[in-house]
Amino acid sequence: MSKIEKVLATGKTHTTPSAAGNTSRGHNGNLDIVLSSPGSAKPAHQFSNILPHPTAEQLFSGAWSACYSAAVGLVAKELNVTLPADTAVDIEVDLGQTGQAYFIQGRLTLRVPGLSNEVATKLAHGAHEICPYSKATRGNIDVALNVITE
Amino acid sequence: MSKIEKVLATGKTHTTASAAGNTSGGHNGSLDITLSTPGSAKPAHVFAGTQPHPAAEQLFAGAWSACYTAAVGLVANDLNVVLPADFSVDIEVDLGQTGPAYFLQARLTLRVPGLPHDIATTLAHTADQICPYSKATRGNIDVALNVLTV
Repeated sequence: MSKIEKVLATGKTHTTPSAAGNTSRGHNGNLDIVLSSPGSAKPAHQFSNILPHPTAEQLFSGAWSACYSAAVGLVAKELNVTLPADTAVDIEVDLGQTGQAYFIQGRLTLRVPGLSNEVATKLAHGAHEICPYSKATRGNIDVALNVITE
Repeated sequence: MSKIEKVLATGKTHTTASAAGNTSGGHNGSLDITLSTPGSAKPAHVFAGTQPHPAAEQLFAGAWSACYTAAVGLVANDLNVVLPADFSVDIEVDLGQTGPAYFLQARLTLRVPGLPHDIATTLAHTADQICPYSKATRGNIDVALNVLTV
C-alpha cells in the first residue's frame, strides 16, 4: 500500500436513509441520485438492508471506468498507439455473497475496433496496472480483463 | 480474498471518451452522467490523463456510502442499538499521486447524534468490517474512520 503524497481531487457524498430510498448527494450539486431498490426476484428480506443496489455498483463501475478509460489513453500514448475513435470500456461490478458475507467483483472489457489482439491486451493490462481503482481493489476482489478488437 | 458464490446485483456502465467529456451511462438509464473536468488551478497537462475527476471519486464515494450506510444498519440491528433518525454517513474519496502513480484514499464519518461515543465507534468499525466496498479496498488504500455523536 502506497501513501498519497499529493491530493489531486476529492469526491464527497452525504448519504442519509429515508423511506423514499437512500440519497447520495455530491458536494457540488452534480451528483444527486436516489439509489434504487434492487427489483430482484429474490425474497425481499435478503435485500432489506442492502436496498441501494445495483445503483451502488453502477456508481462504482462509473468511477472505475472513468479512471480506467483515462489509463487506457495514457498507456496508448506511451506505446504510440492511436486509439480508434469508437474506443469504449464496459465495466460490470457484481455485489455478491459468500455465506453471510458480502463481496464485490468486477469485469472490465476494453473495446478497440481495428487494433491487433496483442496490442489491445497490452493496453488493457497496462491500464489495469496504473488505474487507481484497479490498484485500490487489487488482490481483494476478483477482476476479469477482456478485450474486443472488432 | 474471498470468491463470490452468489451474485446479488450487478451495476454496469458503458464509458466512451469524447471532446465534450466522458459519459458513464448506466445500463438501465438511471445513471447517465457527464463526468466533469477538474476545474483545478493546476496546469492542465497534469490532469490530461485524469480529466474525469472528482466526479469519479464522487461516484465511488456514493457507492461506498450506500453500502456502508446499510452495513451500519445491520450492525445496529445486531447490537440492538436504535439508530437516531438523523444518522448520516459522509465519505470523502481523494484521488492522489505519489511520484507519477495515482492512488486513492478515503475518510468515512458516521454521524449518530445522541449515541454514546463507544457505541458509535463500535458501529463505525464493525460496519467497516462487513461493508463489501471496505473489504474491496482493505490494505490497498488509506481509510480513516471517524464518528460524530453530536
